[in-house]
Amino acid sequence: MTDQQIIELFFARDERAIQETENKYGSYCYTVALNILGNQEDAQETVSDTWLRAWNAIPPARPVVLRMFLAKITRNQALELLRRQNAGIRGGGNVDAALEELKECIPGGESPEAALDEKELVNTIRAFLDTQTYRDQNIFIRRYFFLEDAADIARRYGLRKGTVLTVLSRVRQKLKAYLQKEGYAL
Amino acid sequence: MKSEDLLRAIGQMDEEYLARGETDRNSPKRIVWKVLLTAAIVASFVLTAVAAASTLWGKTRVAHDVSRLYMDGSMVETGEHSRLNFYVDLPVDEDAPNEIEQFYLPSILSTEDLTNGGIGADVKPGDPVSVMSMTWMPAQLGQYEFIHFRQMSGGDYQGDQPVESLDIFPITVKEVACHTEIVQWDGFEGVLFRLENWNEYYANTCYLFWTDSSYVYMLQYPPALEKARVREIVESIAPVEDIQPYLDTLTAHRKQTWQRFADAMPERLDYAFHAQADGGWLEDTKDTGLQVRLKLPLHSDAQERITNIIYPRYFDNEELFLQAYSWDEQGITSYTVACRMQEHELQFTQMGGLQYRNSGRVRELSVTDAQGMKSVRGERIVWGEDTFYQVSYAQTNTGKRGYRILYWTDGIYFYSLKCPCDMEDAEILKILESIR
Repeated sequence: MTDQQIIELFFARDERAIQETENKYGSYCYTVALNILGNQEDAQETVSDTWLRAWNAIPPARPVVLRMFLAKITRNQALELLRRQNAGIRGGGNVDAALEELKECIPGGESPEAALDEKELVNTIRAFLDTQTYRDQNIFIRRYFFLEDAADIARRYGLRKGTVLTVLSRVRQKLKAYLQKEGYAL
Repeated sequence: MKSEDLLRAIGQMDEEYLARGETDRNSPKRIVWKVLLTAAIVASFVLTAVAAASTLWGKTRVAHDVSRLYMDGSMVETGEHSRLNFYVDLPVDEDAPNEIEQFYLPSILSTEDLTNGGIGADVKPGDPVSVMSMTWMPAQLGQYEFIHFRQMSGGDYQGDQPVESLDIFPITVKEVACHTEIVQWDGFEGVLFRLENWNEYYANTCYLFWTDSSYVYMLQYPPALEKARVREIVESIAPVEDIQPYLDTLTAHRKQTWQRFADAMPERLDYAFHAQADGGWLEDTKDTGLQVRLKLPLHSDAQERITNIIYPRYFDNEELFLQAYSWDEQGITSYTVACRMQEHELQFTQMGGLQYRNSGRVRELSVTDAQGMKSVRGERIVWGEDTFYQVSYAQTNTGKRGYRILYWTDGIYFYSLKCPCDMEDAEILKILESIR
């Protein structure tokens, strides 16, 4: 079934939407969750949550790319589960590592007290990524959205692991400079 | 802001954008690149030898040609300096950046202008290698749009140019043979140059080039290094967050090494002065070149070990290159003494000239011209109460103006000053007085 057809099932409030979604994207979302949680049971629970949330979100949301729409839900759910389990979203190997890496991008260091407009930050990051090469955007997204490790990313793109690490390091440095320029420094 | 905020924000980007990360391997286009190997590693003499051979290696073409450039499968005529070019086709992503970017490799101090973060490699102290990544910038050659790679800094940046070609070629001295080889292993391909008959410092040194399609890397190593070790080093290249530990290790190692040399230094130095009394010209010899031997008197009660005013400038295996004197005044340059630990002997060899040998209690400080330069003059100069020993070189091999080197000692330290031949004595004296 095509994505469009599945979305129409959601809009028609036809419960087959859940089954079709699970058939098509069950493994995919499971992988996204497992990358974050590192635990099969928790990943399965997260995927189940994803279908419920998708059902509640569509409509009114009409996903442009259904797969990514679901991935976002799964990711958020997984991170939320980590937060509940650990009183913070640390606790998963890949997530911990990603968070440590992303600390490098914060000009002036972390400041929990600083107020933040999340929407503005999203736009800023998007605008920053637009200045990067296509390859580097992909690698960045695989690492910090999908939370894949460098070895997996390297395999995906036929690169050496060192190359992936190099790219990520470089992009983080540039993101830091970009955030600073955009006024995110303390 | 916290890193969790960033992580969360990344997750909120729109689906279409995030879907990009779903693409599979980028398909690199193979284009021809051009790299200029510059002076930091090899002297930039123009090669005049001619060779004409080309080999095909899969999708890579390695061509030796004096006067033609290789661009996307077609040969282009150029009158560029008659240099011998080896054109190597390295894979590059279609959207490889055109801007200059630079990573510094803290494993070996290849430049003093270092920044936090960079690339590290598994280079252990004592590894006889240099690893560096190269800056590159687009440049224009005549009406052709080529990318020239310049090492670390410099180059002729003339604005954004599309990536057209990448060629790698060594620029070497006349009649130096260069062996070229393609190096391959799983997921890696690079080109290796080895200069076969250069001087003692670079003879047979290997230079391995490769790219990750954004950077060009080079590994320099002696031919005796095992291929497995070369591969280990190449595979170990990865970013580091902070280069300071690498610098600290390097500094600590240098200090340690220097201490070894310092401990081995004699407590007392007596030099024999053998220069011709009238400062006349000395003849060439085929074996040793020109020699002027100088004796620099020391206080008889000098207890300090002769250390010179030096700091470790460059460490290369068992050699420590010492800066005997350093100056940045216009026209004044420092000279470097290489101190090599032999079995029972401490040898000081100037890059290109100065040689100090232990021989029992009598130490001879001899100055030789390793390049076989003609017209070396040795003489003794007295200015006021101070005595200097001067060696003059009328002209260099490459036709540059000559220079003179003054040597002297205050009984504890050994000094030298190199300056142009035509520099006025009064100017030199002023500089000498400013030495602290």
